[in-house]
Amino acid sequence: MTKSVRRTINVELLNRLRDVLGGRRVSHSHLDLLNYARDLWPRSLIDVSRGELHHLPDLIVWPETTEEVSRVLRVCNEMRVPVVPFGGGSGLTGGAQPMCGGVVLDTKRMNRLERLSEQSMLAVCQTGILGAKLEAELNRKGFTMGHFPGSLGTSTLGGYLATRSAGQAATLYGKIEDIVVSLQAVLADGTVMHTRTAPRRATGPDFNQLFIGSEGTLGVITRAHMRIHLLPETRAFRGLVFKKLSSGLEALRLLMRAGVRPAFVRLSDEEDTAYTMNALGLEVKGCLLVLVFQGRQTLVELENEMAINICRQAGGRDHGDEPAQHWFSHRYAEYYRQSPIFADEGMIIDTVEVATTWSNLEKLYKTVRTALAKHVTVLANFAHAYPEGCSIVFTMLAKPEPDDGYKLYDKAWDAALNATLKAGGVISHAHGIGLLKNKWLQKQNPAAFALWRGMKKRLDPNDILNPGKIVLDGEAAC
Amino acid sequence: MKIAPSQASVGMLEELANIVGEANVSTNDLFRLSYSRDLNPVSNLATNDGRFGPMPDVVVWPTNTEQVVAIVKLAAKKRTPVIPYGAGSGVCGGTVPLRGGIMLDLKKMKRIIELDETSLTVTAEAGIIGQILEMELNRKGYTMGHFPSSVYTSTLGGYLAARSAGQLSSKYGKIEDMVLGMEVVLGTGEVMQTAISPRCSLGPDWNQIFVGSEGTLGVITSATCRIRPYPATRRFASFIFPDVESGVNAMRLMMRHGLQPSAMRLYDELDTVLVGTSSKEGESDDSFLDFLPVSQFGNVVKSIVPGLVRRTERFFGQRADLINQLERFANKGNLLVLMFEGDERQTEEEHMLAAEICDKSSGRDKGPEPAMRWYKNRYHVSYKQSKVFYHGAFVDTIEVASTWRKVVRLYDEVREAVKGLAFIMAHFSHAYLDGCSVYFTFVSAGTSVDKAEQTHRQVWDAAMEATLKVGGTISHHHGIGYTKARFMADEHGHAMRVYEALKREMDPAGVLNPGKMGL
Repeated sequence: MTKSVRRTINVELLNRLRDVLGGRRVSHSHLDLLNYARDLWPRSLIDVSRGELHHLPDLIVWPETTEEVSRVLRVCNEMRVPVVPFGGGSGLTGGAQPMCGGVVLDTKRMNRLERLSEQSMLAVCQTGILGAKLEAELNRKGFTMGHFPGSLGTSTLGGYLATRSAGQAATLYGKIEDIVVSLQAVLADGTVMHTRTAPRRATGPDFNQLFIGSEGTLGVITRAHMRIHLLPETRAFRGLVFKKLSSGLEALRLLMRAGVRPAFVRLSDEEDTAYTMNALGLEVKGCLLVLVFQGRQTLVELENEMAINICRQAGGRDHGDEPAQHWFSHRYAEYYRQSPIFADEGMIIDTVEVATTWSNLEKLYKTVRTALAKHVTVLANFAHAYPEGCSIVFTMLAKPEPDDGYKLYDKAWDAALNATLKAGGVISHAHGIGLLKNKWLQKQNPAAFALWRGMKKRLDPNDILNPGKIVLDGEAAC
Repeated sequence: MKIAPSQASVGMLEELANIVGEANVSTNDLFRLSYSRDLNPVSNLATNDGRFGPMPDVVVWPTNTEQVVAIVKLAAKKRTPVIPYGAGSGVCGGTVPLRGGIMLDLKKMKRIIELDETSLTVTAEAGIIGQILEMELNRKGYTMGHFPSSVYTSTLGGYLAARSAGQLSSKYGKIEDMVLGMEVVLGTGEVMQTAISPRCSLGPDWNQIFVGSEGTLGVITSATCRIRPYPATRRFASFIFPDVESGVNAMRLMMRHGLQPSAMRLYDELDTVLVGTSSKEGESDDSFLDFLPVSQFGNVVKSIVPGLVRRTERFFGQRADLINQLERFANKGNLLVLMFEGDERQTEEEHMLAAEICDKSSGRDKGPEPAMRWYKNRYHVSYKQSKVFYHGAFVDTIEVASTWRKVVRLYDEVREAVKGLAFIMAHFSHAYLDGCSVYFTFVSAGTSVDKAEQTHRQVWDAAMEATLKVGGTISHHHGIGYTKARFMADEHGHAMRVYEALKREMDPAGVLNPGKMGL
């Protein structure tokens, strides 16, 4: 049962969109509207558990080509109807919530891997393709894109680009902005633009980087050229345990500094280690560092050896390959356990992912951890290591009193992000802004926030693209 | 020679003096003349002819961000152009003050603000010279890994504004990969500091909007960049390939297999003659990329090249083609130089894999010497060009890029398009997983400067048309300035709309480096 209210149907809009897409790819069925009323922002899981969805769209459309997207946008721009681009709906910040109703533009029927250039190591894809499907198709031909977010099975390429995603193997393969070469995007008035495909260009600003991370506010990304890599010849796993978190962090920093590039890297704090090791049936005290190397046999062996040496010198104890193997085979599991935790156990769970440079990392960890621990149970791990710094993923867990869920949730986030700003970290490493972090982006970088809004006004003067996001404090969403 | 007088009003000069102090403002003709050009060949030709291009009305040397803010605000209020200026080593006329105005030289903002050895970052003011920054880092055991051949006469701000890439970009990345955060003064006078973090997902990446904007969107005043420990080992290797295709194939396979050579350059036959393939250390050192065919080609070319200067264009046209055919006799093969840097065993492994790949692609091992010689002479190219101009000829470089699938075609088509107009040679460098750049050097001449300018323009038109037809990009790392502005519409298509929107948003008065970039 939901308390959500449906608006009356705009018949002219419905008819014009049916002209573009045919009857079957335009829907106003109540079930569809409910399904597209939210993404995986944990706060809306509280909504769901209470049977309240606040922001229903009016229509869902499923275009199959860039041309159709362009025509949909032209219609909506003329009629001043909001359009919310929607991929796999796996966002964690409410970025795809249709705040002002309107049309949800689901890209998932634009799901073709159009071309694979084995010579230039490029995959040309429509952006509605699911990450896991794209990866499987590439694997079949002997390639990988190297982009593995926890949501891989339920997120799309367009989503990765629009939210500026980073996968678990970012240390080796780069983040989405490093993987993309060129893209095609449809602007609010239906203009189709594309960036030129070249390994590198010095022809002005990099316009890709304006659309990457724009979260549906500046254009709809419909097609992209993505870099791919050979599937690794081999993989080496390593688990090391450090008595103190600070020595684990030091080891990780020195690994990066020495030019060792594990594909996957994750250092858990004591609480997170206990949780992971328990699942493995092992009793280990300390902080577990998981390393997975992959690539050419000889180089992988060398890197593994270098890593073990560096870790030992920093006080790490070698636990062989089992802990890393276990983590590797369960690395997508966490993502899909959240809904039952909310629904069945009445608990709230979320992840706060922040980042900073090495010299500031422990301070950021301590500040945020302390702030969060006043409200919720906290586990943390350090993943996505770079030579300059690292991200921290805090998992927060709590069982609020009945009807106290929102309050506790908001309090915990307030505490975490205020602490992040205080400690000089960035409020998002890879999940993006959406509704969740809007007000902190204004605090983090008011000038950037203003530029984003300014560009939105210029590229989308009627504010039809994902309206109600990047709004000023106190400003009405619609 | 008469220089048109400065148009700067007394009022504006006073205001500028109030901002930066009288000693840091000048309307002196010598300064105005010096700042009227960069190293683009069109300016070089004109200068040799005793002609001046447009001049700035005033040159200012701010010493801090607040002063830059005040200058930009003043310029916006007075609707006077303001042109950010580093060391003037650009080759596309990016800093030429097409509409006069204020030349904003940033070289007095040259401090290293912070070296964070734990996080491997350095924060410096934009006016610092590349080589000085590098030497300071070297002293502490680090390198930035950014080595454009102009490194002695170019600034950090210039690298960022022009979207520079150094010779070791395959390993250390291009300037956009090195920058973590930057401080920029927008055309409104507002200061924007981007987040300093190894990575963030905070919406669009504004760093990447300012990088490459060539002074049209803001004045970059400082930046935080990644650095690396100075490499423990350096390892050199060279191979000779029978043709361009097999050499390019080897480059592609090395990148495909995840090798990260710091340098990887393949010279076509003519360029190979210039580099020299001799394994004897020291031999023909001074001839490397001297650009003066007179001194380089020895007896063969000596007899032909003076003709470039003396004869008519028509005659030169025939001669250019003739010289281009020299490669058939040169028969030196195509030289690939490789350099690996880093951990001793890692570089050893990489070297072994590289040798295996080159061998499979018909490469003959020539040992380390040719690569070592390249390394020793790697900056010569930037400082010897003006000699050519004294002789009435001109030299220029065209650096384009494409994906691997198209890159040999790109090479062929550009050469074909240009060969009747100029003597042209090329090397392939800046290799990536998905493609590489092709760097053409061309030499030509005209009976008069007008004719030379005309030929120069024809070469560019032909080369750019061929590049775009094949599907390459018109610039890999030199940028656009004004000399390539006419090709921007074809390069970008509708994306220019985005650039125009950025321009209006960040520089509503339209005073930042006007007339550039096809805006």
